[in-house]
Amino acid sequence: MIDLHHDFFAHGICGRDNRWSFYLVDCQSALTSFPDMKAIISILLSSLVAGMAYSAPDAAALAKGKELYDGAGSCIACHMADGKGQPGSVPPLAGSDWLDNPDRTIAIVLRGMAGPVKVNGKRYYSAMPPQLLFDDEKIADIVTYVNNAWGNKCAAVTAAQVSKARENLPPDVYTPEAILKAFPFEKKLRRNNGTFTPDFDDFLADVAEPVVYRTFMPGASPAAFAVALPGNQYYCWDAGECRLRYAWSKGGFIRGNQVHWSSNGKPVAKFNGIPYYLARSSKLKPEDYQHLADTGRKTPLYDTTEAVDFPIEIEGVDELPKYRGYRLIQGFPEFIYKVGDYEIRELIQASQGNLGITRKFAISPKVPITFKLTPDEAATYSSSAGTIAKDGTLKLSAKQAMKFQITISEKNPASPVTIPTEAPKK
Amino acid sequence: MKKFSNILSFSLAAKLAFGGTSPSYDVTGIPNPPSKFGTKQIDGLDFLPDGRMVVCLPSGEVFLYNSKTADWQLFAEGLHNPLGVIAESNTSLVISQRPEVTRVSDTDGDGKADLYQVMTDEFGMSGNYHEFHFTPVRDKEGNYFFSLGTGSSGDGIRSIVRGRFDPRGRPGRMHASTPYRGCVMKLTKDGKTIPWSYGHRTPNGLGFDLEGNLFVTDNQGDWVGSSKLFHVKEGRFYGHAASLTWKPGFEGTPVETNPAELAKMRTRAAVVFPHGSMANSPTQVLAISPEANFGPFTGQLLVGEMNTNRIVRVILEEIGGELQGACVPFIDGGSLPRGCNRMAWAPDGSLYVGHTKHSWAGGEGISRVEWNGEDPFEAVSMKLTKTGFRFTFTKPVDSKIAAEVANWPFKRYYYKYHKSYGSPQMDVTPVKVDSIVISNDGKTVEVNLEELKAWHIHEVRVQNMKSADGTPLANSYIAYTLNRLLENTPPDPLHVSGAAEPRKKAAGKPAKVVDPVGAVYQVTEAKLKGVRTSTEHDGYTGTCYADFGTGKESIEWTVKSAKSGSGKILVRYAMGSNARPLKLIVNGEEHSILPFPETGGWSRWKDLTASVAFRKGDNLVVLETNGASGGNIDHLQVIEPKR
Repeated sequence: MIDLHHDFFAHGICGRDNRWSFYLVDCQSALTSFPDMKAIISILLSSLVAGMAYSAPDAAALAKGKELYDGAGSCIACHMADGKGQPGSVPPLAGSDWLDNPDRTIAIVLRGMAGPVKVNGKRYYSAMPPQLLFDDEKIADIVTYVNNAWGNKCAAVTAAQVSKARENLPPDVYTPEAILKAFPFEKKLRRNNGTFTPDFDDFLADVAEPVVYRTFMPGASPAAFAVALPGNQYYCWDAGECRLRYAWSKGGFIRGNQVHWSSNGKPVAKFNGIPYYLARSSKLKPEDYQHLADTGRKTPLYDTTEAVDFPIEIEGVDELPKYRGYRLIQGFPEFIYKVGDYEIRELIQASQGNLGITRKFAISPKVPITFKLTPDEAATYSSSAGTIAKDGTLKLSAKQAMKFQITISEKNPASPVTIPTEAPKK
Repeated sequence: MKKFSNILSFSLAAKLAFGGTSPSYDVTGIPNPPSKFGTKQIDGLDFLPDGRMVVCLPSGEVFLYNSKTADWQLFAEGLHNPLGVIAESNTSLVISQRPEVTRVSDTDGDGKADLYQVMTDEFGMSGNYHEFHFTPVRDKEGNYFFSLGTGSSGDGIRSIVRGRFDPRGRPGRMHASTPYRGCVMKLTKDGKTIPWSYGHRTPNGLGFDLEGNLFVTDNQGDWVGSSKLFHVKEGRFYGHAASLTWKPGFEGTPVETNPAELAKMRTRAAVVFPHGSMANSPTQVLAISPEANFGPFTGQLLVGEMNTNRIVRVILEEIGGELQGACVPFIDGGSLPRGCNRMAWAPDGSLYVGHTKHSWAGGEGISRVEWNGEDPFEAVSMKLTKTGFRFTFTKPVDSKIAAEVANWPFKRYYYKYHKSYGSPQMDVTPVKVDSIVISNDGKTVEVNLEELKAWHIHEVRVQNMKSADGTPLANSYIAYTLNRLLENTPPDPLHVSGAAEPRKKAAGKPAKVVDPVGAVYQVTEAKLKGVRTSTEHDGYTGTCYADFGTGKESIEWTVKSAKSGSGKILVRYAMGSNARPLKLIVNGEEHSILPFPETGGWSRWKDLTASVAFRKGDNLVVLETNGASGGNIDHLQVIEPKR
C-alpha cells in the first residue's frame, strides 16, 4: 500500500512540475514581443522558476549531495538510506508531498522545524534540527539529491537560491503552522499534508523528571511499564517477566495512553521511534513482532510461565523471577525482583550525554552471575565490571555482581534540537 | 413571598410524585481532584485515619483531599486502572490495579508515595480490556479479598499473556483463559493468594455486612440473567461458567458443559436486582455501620448502581441456612449523578460516592450524601413469613391505605440460567393478596399471599402509600428474592435453558426483508481494516456483522452506481447505549460524521441514511472511527441516483 502511494506522488506530482516548465518556456519566448511587460513578468518568473522549473540535475551535484546525506549531514540516521524515514517519528523523503516546493524544503533544512506534521496522510512527531554546518552549495547539493533520489523527480536547487533564503528567512526554528503559512500547499495536497493537534501524551518528550506509567505496551506482557527519562530516553519494562524489554529515544514517549484509561482500557499504547535496544525473546519469531500490539488474538504466542529469557543466570536457581515492586528514587523507579532467594534491584537512567541508558544493578546476597545481553546492530554495550563477550554474555564474580552497571548506547543517537538565538550569518 | 412558597411546595410534591431522592437525604458535589489529564472519573474512594479522603482515578493518579481546607494533594501516579483503595494508615494505601494488589506508601514523609510493593500478582492477565481488577476489602482478621473480571468477546487477548494460558477458558462470550479470572480471591494476612470463589462475570464490588459475611455483586450478561448480589463462601461456584477452568477438579471446557450440570453446582444469589427497574450494573457493597449517620437502616447494605443515578438498599435474612432478601431503591435520582461506583463513610457519618463510567453509561465526580436528621417514610424491612411478607415501616402507616388489597400488586417471575446474554422475566404471574394485617403501632404490615413460590422473585410496587401523618412513601418499589421458604422448600428447579432448546442463530438467512430498491453490500464484501466480524447479537443479515474497536478502524465498501448524481446510502446498525459517531468518507472526500444514536439494544437494528454524490461506476464508501469506537454495522444499502 505504502509503495503504491509513494509511486503515485513521485510520478504524479513531480511530473506536473515538468509540464509547468514547458509552460514557462512558452511564456519566455512570448515575452520578446511584449518588451513592456518583460520587467514585471521577469520578477514574477524569478520567484516562480525556483518553485516550479524542473531541469535534469547535475550528476556531480547529486553525487556530492548523496555523500553529504550519507555522511557528514547525518540525514541518513533519521531519514534512513531508503529515504522512508521512521514510522510515526521521522517523515519520509522518498515520495514526500512536502518536496513539492524547493523553497519550503530549503527553509526547513536551514531553519529546522519542530512540531507535529502530517506527511502523505501520516502523522509524525519528531523535530528536524536546523543544518548550521553547511554552506549554500552543500545545502543545495543535499536538497537536489533528496529531490531526485528514490524515484523523486523534483527541482534541482542552486546555491544562489539557498543564499537568498538564508538572507531572507526569519531566524527561528519553524513551527509547522509558520512554515505552512509561508509556503502553503496547493489545495489538492492539503488534505494529506499539514499539521495537527496532538493529544496530551502524543507529544510528551523532554520531560524534566521521570514519568512512570503502568499500561499496555506492545511487545510486553500486559503487566508492563512505560518510563520516560530526562534526556529523551524511553523504555518498556515488563513486570510479567522482570526484565527490560526495549528502549528507544526518537519520536517522544508513548501516545494514546490517555485513550487507554479514559475508555474501557482496550487500546495498547503506541510510540513513534524504533527501539535501538530490543531484549532477547527466543519465544518469538521475527514475524511475530508485527503482532506484539494485537489485542484480538484467540491464543497467545506464549505465556509468561513459558518465559525463558530472564537475563540474569545464577547457578542452581532455575525458577522464574518474581516481581516485588519498585521504589522511586528521585522519581526514577528502582525495580525490585527476586529469583530464588536472591533479590535484584535495577534502576535505569539516561547515560552520559543522553546517548543511551545505564542500568544500575544490585544483587544480594552475594553470588556470581552470568548476565545475558542481546547483541544488537543498533546499540553498543559496556559494563562497569567484567567483559562483555561478543554474544552479549557478561560473567561477574560474586563481589562484582553486588553492584554493577550496564550501559546500552544507541549507535545513531537522536540529534539534539537546538534553537538558534540569532540568525546564522552567511 | 406567598407565591414563591407555593412554587416551592409544588416542585417538592412533583419530586416526590416521581419517586426522587428521599427528602431526608441531601446530595452535594465535592470539587474534583486536579488531575493533570482532566479526568473526573473516580475509581476508588476511602478515608484515611486522619479523616482525609483518598481517591483513585483511571489515569492512575491517587489524590488526597482535606475537606476542612478543600485542598487536593497528589499522592501517587502511574498506576494501571486502579479500581479500589483501602487506606491502611495515613501514609500507606492498599490498591487494586490491573496487574496487582499493591501497597503504595510514603516512606520518607514528603507526602508523596515512593514505594510500590506487590502484595500479590499471583493471577493472570490475558490483556483483554474487560479483565478488570476490582476493589480490595479487608476482613477483621487482616485478610484481603479482591475480585477479578473476565475477558470480553468484545476483543481477544494479547500476544504475550501473564500467567498460564488455558485454552479451556478461552471460548465463550466472557472468557477466563488465564488463572482465576472470574474469581473472588483471598490474600491471607500471611501473604498466600487463594482463589476463594468461582463463577463471577464482572464482580465489580465486594463488601462485608456487620457480621463479617462477604458479598460480591455481578453484572447482567452471559450466565447472569439479571444482576445479582452473592454471599461469598469458600470454594463455591456462583454461575458464570468461564472461571471453572481454574476450579480444582473441574474437567472439560466450561462453556461446553451441559448447563444443567452447571446449574446444579451453582449457589443462587442472595438478591437478584431486576434488570431495567432496580439496577443494571451494581457496584460496591457497603454496610450501613453504627458509625454512619444515615437514619434508621443500620446493618443493612448499600449497593451502588453504575447505569442509573441510584443507590440500592438491601435487606437480608437467613432462611434455610442461606441468606436471601429484598432490594429497594434508596438514594435515587435528584442531584445524584449516575455511575455510583465506590462508596465510603466519612468521619462525620455522611456517605461519599465516587462516580465513574469508563465509556459505559455512568457519571463522574464525587458526591456527598448526608442525612438531614428527619426520619424518612420508608419500608425499613421486608421479611418472609409462612404465608407472605412482613413489612416494617419507619413510621405508622395510614391504615386505611395499607389495608387496601389493591395497593399491594404483587407479581413473581424468574430469570433463565443460560450462556446467552441476560434473560427476560419468565413466567411472570400476578400474585393475589389474601389478607392484610396491620400491627397495633401501625408500623408493621403483614401481607398474606395466595401462594409463595420458592426460587422466584416476588416484587411489589406499593400504591398510594402514606404514613399516618400524610408523608408519601419515599420508595415504593421493592423486590424480594425468594429462594427458600420457611419450611418445605422444593428442590431448585435450576431454570436452565439452552440444552433442551438450543438457541438457533439465523446464519446466512436474512433476518429482515431488505428494501429491494437498492443493492445491499454486506460487511463480508467490504475491506475491513481493524474491524472484526461477530455473530454474538441476533438480528443481523448475511453471515455476520462488523464490530468496531476503539483504534483507527474502518469498513471500506466499493459500491457500484449506474449513473452519477445524488443518491443515498442506508447503514444498518445496532447501538446498545449512547451514541458512537463514525466518519463517512465517500470517494476519498470526508462526507460527514454520522451520529449512530442508540437503537435500544445490541440486537435492535436500524438504518441510518445519508445523501451522497455518486460517480458513475465504482464508488468507495468508508466508515471510519472518529477517535473512539463505533457501533455494530450490519450492512450498507445503496440507493443509486435516479437521474
